[in-house]
Amino acid sequence: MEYPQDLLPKIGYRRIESENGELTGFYLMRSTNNPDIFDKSTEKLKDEFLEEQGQEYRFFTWSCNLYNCFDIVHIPFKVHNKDLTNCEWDFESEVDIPLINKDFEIDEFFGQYFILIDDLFINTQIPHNKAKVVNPYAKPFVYHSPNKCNFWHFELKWKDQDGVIINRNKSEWKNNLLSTMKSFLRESCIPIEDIDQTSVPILSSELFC
Amino acid sequence: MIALEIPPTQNFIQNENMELVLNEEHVKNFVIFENQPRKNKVFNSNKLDINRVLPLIEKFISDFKLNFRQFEEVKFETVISAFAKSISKILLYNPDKIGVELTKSGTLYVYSLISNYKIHFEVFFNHNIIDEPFECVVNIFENRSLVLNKNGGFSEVIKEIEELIPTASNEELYLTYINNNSAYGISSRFITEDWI
Repeated sequence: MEYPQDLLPKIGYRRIESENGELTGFYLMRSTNNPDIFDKSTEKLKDEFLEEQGQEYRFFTWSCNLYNCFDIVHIPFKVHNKDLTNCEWDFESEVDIPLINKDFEIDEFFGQYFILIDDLFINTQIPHNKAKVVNPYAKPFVYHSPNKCNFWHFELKWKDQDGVIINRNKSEWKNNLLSTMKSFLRESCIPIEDIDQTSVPILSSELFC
Repeated sequence: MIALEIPPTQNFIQNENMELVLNEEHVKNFVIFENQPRKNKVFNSNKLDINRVLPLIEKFISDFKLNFRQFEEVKFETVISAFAKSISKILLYNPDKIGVELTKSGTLYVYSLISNYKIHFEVFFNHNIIDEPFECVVNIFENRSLVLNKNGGFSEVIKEIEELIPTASNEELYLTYINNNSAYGISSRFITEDWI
């Protein structure tokens, strides 16, 4: 089984910007190791896919892929070589093609869910009503962060009111911020059945070449 | 009358795989129908639709069996109480949709849809609020915009919700029940003298 070369970064590629609406209409896709993703009672994303046991607040950085460039057929290619996934591609080097067993394996047991990027930019600003804190909020942003085996890798992160990236739950926000961020994500995350595939745009090469 | 009874002990039985064992008797003891006065009942409403309450109780128990380790440091009575109080209050709105998840993070999450309002209600048992058994956080969205964010004790949070979405009066609820009786499949035993 050969690794899909359309995932690999190529010399000449540049970072995809997203703060000025370049990715309007696109979806981020997150894959899971379990297809049972949505709670049967609430019909929302299960809490275990928002927070991982032992990795509290992992949603401060969510690893995602740009859907339509990274497709469902690519999910089974599980790269276990951390040298390929743990650091960002430098936008200069030529990368080697990952090899099965050495770098990746095939895992057909998976699930996936989607987030419309527009929703994050338009709707998600989390106010905080604690009197001691003046107008803080958490605002999500999408950051193109390709690695050596996946050019279409993005990260969903959060900034505070000063533009500083939030990487932990501030003590004075505890529980409220956490729950509110999760509520926004639960509102935004949808199954593939809810996507009108004909409405998903095709990424113009001008955005990354 | 529906009552959700507090079990007498928190010492549940575990099987050889250390999984919690809750059998039919346990479940039966959680839920008591009709007018059986019990000292320990925490969930008590004759104004609620059993067809809506029972699936929530079943889901709560199912989730608790899976995730009980996340609640080992919390009194079970507190978890039951949070669940019962939360869904009792929200069901009074006769929501278009309601669901519950006892999460692997050790919280109770209730989602409901009331007209255009999408209500995310989460209960935390690890908190620092003095004199409160648990902390509640509510986030209400209307047309995808956040219109209410509040955290605090149960009463404090419920008060904020009621200011945004007034609870229907008993009379209005009764009329809603009558009008929707066939649609909801409500048993006639729920229309009691006390209700009227």
